[in-house]
Amino acid sequence: MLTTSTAPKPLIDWVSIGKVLYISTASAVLLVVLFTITVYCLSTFRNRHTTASNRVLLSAVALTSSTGILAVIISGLYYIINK
Amino acid sequence: MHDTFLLVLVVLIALGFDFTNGFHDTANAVAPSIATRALSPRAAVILASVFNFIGAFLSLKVAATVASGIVSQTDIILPVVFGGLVGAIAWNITTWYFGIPSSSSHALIGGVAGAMLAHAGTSAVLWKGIVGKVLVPSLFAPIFALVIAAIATTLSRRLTLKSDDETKSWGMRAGQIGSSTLLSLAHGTNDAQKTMGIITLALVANGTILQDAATPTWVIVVCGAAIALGTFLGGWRIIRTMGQGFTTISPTQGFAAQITSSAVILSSSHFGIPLSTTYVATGSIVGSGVGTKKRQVRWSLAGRVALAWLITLPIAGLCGAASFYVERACGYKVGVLVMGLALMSYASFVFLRSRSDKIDAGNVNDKWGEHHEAFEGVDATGGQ
Repeated sequence: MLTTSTAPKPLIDWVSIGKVLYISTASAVLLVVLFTITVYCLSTFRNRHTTASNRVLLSAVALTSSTGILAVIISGLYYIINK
Repeated sequence: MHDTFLLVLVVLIALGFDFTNGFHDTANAVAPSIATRALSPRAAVILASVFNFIGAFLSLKVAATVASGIVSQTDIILPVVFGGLVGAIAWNITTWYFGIPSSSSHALIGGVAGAMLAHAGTSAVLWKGIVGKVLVPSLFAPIFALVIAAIATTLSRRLTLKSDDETKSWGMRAGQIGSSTLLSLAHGTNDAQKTMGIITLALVANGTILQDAATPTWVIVVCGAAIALGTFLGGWRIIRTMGQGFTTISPTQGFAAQITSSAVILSSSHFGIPLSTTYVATGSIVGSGVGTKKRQVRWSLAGRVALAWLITLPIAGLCGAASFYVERACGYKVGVLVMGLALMSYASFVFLRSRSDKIDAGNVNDKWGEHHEAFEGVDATGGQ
């Protein structure tokens, strides 16, 4: 005989709490690290001992990390608004 | 039960609560930016109020949780909502006077639950909702924020060890303007919704809308406007505690703390968990202090603030219950007027008393311990 039962909702929604921890840790650490890399690149770029080729490399890294920051923020807000 | 007079009073006092919520919680979004001078105090509160207003339109999941997950919608009556709001506002005003960053959300939930207990007994309070959706997440929120901010600050500090101070300071301050904006948006998303939930609950109680109906658009607009106005006026006493009290915030710490708070608040809003933004912001600021080389935090102050957090729910609940008993004793229509006047008198008294040691945009960044009226006087250096 087949029986169907629906499990009662747990008192504490551990799954959602776990997701909040996971998403907030990942996004906060990622944003802070990317921004710090951008600041580091800027700082090294301004150093007068930095060579021209290194400046090109630093600019590329700074541009990539800045794009990453924007991507994380925009995709996060899009997800919150639309899902 | 249709009673337009009572409904209008409840909506007005709910907006009053939303105003105090913005006023009380401005610090959450802008205290680190003001402390590091990334933004001037006035510019910071203007930015926060604009983005609080925008944030109110982003999501309604928390509003739904507050409207249906805390007390039974079938037993709710307007004087209960009114009594709960009186309790919440009274606690917000008291903690503002002492510069304590306590939770407006817990004050609200405690107030409404207390008034409901007084009205219909324990069965009308959804204990499962309060424990599962309020108490447990609130226990975890500041701990999550503290740990994440400590990790973020440590990483950021180590990555910029060889950077020149001028560029680092300038860069992090610029980042703080962005993170303040994001955090204000997150605050509007989370906190404005709580009052939306309460007004929705009042509309259900009055029979104006059906149970489980969506929050009306006018409710979203007025709640966004009320919290933005409160934020604009700036709760300087709490900004001072958050910005100067717990730790000496550097631009690197401020940026890490604000990004952490934004991430935790926005992700919890997404899952419909009504977190206290104050607990998250406080946890992040303390965590940013833990992430410094000297682990510089005034733990004695943090301990006393945590004690205030513990008593927020029961005290607001007691005030809410007391307010409801007075309303019932006087007859509901007269009772809500009596309690409304009593609350206004108390608010005026506290405001006038606060003038004796005024904290505003001009002196909010004074060194910690220079003002002795609030509780900072006993903790000028202790615990660092």
